Amino acid sequence: MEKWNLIIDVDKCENCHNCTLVTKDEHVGNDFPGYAAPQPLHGHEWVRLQRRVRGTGSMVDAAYLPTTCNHCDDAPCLKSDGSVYKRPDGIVIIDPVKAKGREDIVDSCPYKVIFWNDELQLPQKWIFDAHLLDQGWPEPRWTQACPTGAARAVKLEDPQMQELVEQQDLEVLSPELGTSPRVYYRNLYRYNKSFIGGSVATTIDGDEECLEGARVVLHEGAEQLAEATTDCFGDFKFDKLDPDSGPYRVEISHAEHGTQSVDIATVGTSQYLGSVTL
Amino acid sequence: MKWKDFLKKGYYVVPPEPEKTREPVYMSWYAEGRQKESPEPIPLPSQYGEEFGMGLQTQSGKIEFVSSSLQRCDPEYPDRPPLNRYIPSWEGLQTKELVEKYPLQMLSPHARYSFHTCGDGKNSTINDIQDHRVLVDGYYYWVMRMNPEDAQARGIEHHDLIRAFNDRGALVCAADLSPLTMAGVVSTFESCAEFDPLDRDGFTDRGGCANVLTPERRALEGTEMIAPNSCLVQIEKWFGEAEGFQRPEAAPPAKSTGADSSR
Repeated sequence: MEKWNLIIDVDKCENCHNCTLVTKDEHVGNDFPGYAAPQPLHGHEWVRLQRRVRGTGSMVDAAYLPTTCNHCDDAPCLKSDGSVYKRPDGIVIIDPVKAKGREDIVDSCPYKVIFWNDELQLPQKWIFDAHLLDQGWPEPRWTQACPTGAARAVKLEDPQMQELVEQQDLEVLSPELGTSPRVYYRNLYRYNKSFIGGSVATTIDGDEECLEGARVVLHEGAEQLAEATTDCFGDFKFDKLDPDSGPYRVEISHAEHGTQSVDIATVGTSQYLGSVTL
Repeated sequence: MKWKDFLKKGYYVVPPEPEKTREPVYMSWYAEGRQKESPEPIPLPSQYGEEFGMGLQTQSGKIEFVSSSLQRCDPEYPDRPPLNRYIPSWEGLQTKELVEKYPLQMLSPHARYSFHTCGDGKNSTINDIQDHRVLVDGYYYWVMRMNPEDAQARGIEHHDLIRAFNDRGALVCAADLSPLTMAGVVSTFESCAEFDPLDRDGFTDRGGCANVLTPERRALEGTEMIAPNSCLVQIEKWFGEAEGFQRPEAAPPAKSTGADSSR
């Protein structure tokens, strides 16, 4: 049986919020019996966008992480006596009748993506637009509304999906929770890893100039981790480092302009070394 | 191509436009010394210095680095010299006295999640976007973006309420701290759809109307060029209703207009 999966490319999300707004447009004031009761006007984030800004000064990047119900195969919410069930196509549905009064379902989710509807006394969350898929929609409204293609839904057999996970280096959020999520992420490092970057300059004919083609080596202790070459702005960047890891040593060298090294005790959330002059 | 054939084939390659009906290369008429062939009605005949449709609509008919019309009209006019050059802002980082009082330059670009006043306020779901408005103590505040350095110097933390002010007025906003805004500059969106003054005289608005801070002065006298980014402000943490500010007395209940006013 083919099952639904969602693949989100963090690199492509640019915070337009179409996903959050179409989900509200779909559900606020609209009742889909058997799927979901109306979402309250405010306060619920069935799709949530979180921002992470790394670096400082002239080397900053912002990443946006859309999170939602992961439609986990082994979800804690599924152990709630039939109020929450998994469809054969992988989609998890909270029964809007049986789940009445079950605030414990909100607390059961380790990803905190189930919201409590106080007025209707219901736990609620993103239903993968199952009501639309059942009407013949080829994809959920979220992915249809995503202008950059950051989110896409694929319906695959589980082994095929695992192949895709390996081919495209897909990750899930907090895999240590062991709930087998069906929402996968690409380029998650933009959100949860750190970088060390800098800009290399030198003096040419009395003027400070960006130095292209300098060799930059990153060491952690005695081990050489990575190597880079500065671009035409003199910039270099080592990404995908674990937050707060270290200490690191950056060695910059150029055949004509000499060498320079910088010690970094810890990378923290990311480190921009600013201008380094050879 | 027939519809039936199209369905069978599944695609249709649109052929390139014939040479004859193609748009001429932009400005080629000028480069080749011909009469202007683009069909737009302006510039009007009176705007040509010599023959209608020949040359550019400058007085010399040529590209002018020094504008001959401005040269004739008022060459000494300081706001609009005949030769383009940088004119320091009358309200910017080099206006020393003002900068001492109001050291931050405030930009107010178009809003990202609403279109002018359309979509914002009115209890819309867009209010839930934290890059648009931030819910603090039951009120959706407009957002002011600032650098963490500037914020730290003022004891401001992420999503704290702040008061941005200058001689023209004051704005209560929620602070959004990130290095995406450089130190010394703050940024808020223009054209919020709420105006919710906390006082009658002092113009302290918590709806988010950046116009209470931006200058009325035009970029150039006698024109309608607005200059909202030539705007200096100071920012401080907001602790509710500051001394000297009083909420306006409650107005008599207005007749219902059918508009949603549940905020």
